[in-house]
Amino acid sequence: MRREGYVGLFLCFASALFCYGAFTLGIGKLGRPGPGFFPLLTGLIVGTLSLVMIASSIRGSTSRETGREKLITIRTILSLVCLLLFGVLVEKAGFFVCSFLFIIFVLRANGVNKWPFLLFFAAVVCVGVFFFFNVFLEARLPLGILDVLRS
Amino acid sequence: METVTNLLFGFSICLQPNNLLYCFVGVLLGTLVGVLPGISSASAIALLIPITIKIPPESSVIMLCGIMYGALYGGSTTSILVNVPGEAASVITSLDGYKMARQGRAGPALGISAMGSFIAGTISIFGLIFFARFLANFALRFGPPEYFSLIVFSFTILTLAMSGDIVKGAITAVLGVAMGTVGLDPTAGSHRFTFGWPSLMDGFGLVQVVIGLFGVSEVLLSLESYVKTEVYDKKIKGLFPTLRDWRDSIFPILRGTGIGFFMGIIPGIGVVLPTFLSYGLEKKISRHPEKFGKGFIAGVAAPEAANNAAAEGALIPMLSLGIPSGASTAILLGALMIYGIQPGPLLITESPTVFWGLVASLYIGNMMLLVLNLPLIGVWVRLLKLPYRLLSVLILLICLIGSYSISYMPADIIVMTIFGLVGYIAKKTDFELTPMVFGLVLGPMLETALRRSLILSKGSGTIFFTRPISLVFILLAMAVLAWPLFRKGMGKVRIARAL
Repeated sequence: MRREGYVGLFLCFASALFCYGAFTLGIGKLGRPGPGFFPLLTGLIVGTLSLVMIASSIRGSTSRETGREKLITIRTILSLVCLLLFGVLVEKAGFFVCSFLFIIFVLRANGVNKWPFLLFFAAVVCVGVFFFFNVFLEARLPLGILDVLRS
Repeated sequence: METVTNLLFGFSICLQPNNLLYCFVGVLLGTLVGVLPGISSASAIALLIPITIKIPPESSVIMLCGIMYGALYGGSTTSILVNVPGEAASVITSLDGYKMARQGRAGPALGISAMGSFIAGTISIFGLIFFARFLANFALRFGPPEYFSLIVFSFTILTLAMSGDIVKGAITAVLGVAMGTVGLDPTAGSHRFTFGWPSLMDGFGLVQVVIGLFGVSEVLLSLESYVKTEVYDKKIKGLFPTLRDWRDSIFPILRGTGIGFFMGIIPGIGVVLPTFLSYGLEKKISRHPEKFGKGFIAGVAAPEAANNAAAEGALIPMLSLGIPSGASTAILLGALMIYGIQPGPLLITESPTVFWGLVASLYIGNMMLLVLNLPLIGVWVRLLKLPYRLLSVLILLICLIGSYSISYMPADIIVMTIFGLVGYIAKKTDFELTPMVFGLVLGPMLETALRRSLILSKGSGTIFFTRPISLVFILLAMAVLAWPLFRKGMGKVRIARAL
C-alpha cells in the first residue's frame, strides 16, 4: 500500500470516531435535523472518500514508489516542538525569554552554529519585535518573569 | 450617474490620509510576501487580522485587499528575476520572464508585468462595479436551498480546479466543513466537539488555522528543501517596454484581462487557473508560437494581466454572494465577519463605505504599486539575498504572535502548531489545502442552508431540484463532476480510433 493508503486509513478511523461523536449529539429527523445531523453527514462523506483512496492506493501499489522522501524530518519535529513549547511557556516565562530561546533553538536545529551571532541575532529580533508589537501596534505580549523588572 | 456618484464617494473614503496609509501598507506588505518564498498572501492576511480589529472596517478591508493584489506584483518579480515564483499565480510568468532576464531584458519584463497588471486592474474595477451590483440584485432571490446548491457548486469547481486528484480535493474540502461544525451549533446553540476546551467554544479560529496551514507549514517545508537560488545580479535597465514590446503585449494584456476577470467571477476558480489558460490561448493564437517559452514578452504580459484581473473578479462573488473564490478571499470573508459585516446581497446598500471604499482603493492601490514597485525592485532583489534561515525564524515568530494576539490564549498557539503539522503532512502527501479553508469558512453557511431547507420542505430533498435557480446550480455541479470522466472517455475513443 502507498503512503496515501495509510493517510486514508487514518482518515477512515477519524471519520468513524467523528460519526460516533455526531451520533451522540443527536441526529434528529430529516424534517427537523438535530445538532449531530450535519457532522454525521460530513463524517460519512469523509469515510467514503477515504475508502476510495485506500482502494486506489492498493490498486496502484504494484508500481513501486522510488526515491520517496521522508514524511517528516527530525529538523521539522524539533521546530514543531519549539512552537509548542512557546505556547506552553509564553504566559509564565514571558515573551522575551520564550522568543529568545525559540530563535536560538530553531536556528540551531537548522544548522546555524555560530553562538555569538545566534545570541546577537536573537536579542536584536526579540527587542525589535517586542517594540513593534507592544509599542507601535499596542499588543499585550506578556513580560512573564521579566515583569519583576517593571515593578 | 448614480455609479459615478458612488465611485466618487468611494474615492472620498479611500483618499482620506489614514486610508491612503493603510492602502500603502497593504500593497507594500503584499509585495513583500509575494517576493519572499515560504509565506503566501493568505497567511499574511491572516497574520494581519488581529492588528486590523482595532481600526475601522473599511480601512482594514482596504489594507487586506492591498496584500492580496500586492502579492501578485511581488510574485512576478521573483518569477522573473530568480525563477522562483513567490505566488502560485506567477508560476507561468517565469517561463518567459526568467528567460527574458537571462537575455538581459529583465527591465522590460518587469515593466510589462507591472503595467499589464495595472491595465488589467483598472479595467476590472469597472467590471467589478457592474457585475457586483448585478449579482447582488440577482442574489436577493436566493433562499436556503439556492445558497446550499451554490455552495455545493463552488466546492465542486474548487475541488476540480485546485487539485489534480479530485478525491483528495474533496476530502480536504469536507474535512474543512467538518472542522466548521466544531463549536456552537448554529441552530440549537449546543456545544459540539469542544471537549470542554474553552478555546474551542467558538470553533476553530480561522486565523490560527490559516497561519498554521499556510504560514507554519510553508516555512517548515522551505527550511527542509530550501536551495540557494541564483539572484539576478546585473543592474536592471530600461523598465519601460519599447514600442515593439507594447505592440506584442497590448492584445495579450486585454485578452488576459477578459479571461482573468470572467474566470475570477466563478466561485472556486481562484487566480491560478486563468494564468495558465491565458498563456495557453496566446500561444495557440500567436503567429509565432515557437517564441513562447524562450523569452517572449507576450508570455509575461498575458498571465500577469490575467492574475490581476482574476484577483479583482474574485471579489465579486465574495462581496455580493458571500462566496469566496480561493484561500485569500476565504480569509477576507472571515475577516469581514469578524468586523461584524455580513458579505452578501445587502453589503452594497448596508455597508457602502466598505464596498465603495474598497472599489476606489483597488485603483489607488494599483497606481501605488506601479509607482512604487518599479523603483523598489532593487530593494526586493537585495531582500532575496538574505539567508532564508534567518527570514524563516522571523516569519515563525510573527506567526506565533499573530495567532496569540487574537485572544491572548496560549491554546491558540497549540492549535496553530497542530495545523502547521497538518499542513506540512498534507503538502507532502499532495493534498491541496485551499479547499480546507474554503470548507471551514463556508461550512457553517452550508449547514444552516441545508438544515433550513430541510425544515422548509419537511424533510424532502426534492426542494433542491424543484426550485429553478437551485436546480441550475446542482446541474452545473454535476456537469463539473462529470467533466473529468467525459474527458477520459473522449481520450479513450480517440485512442481507439487512432488504432
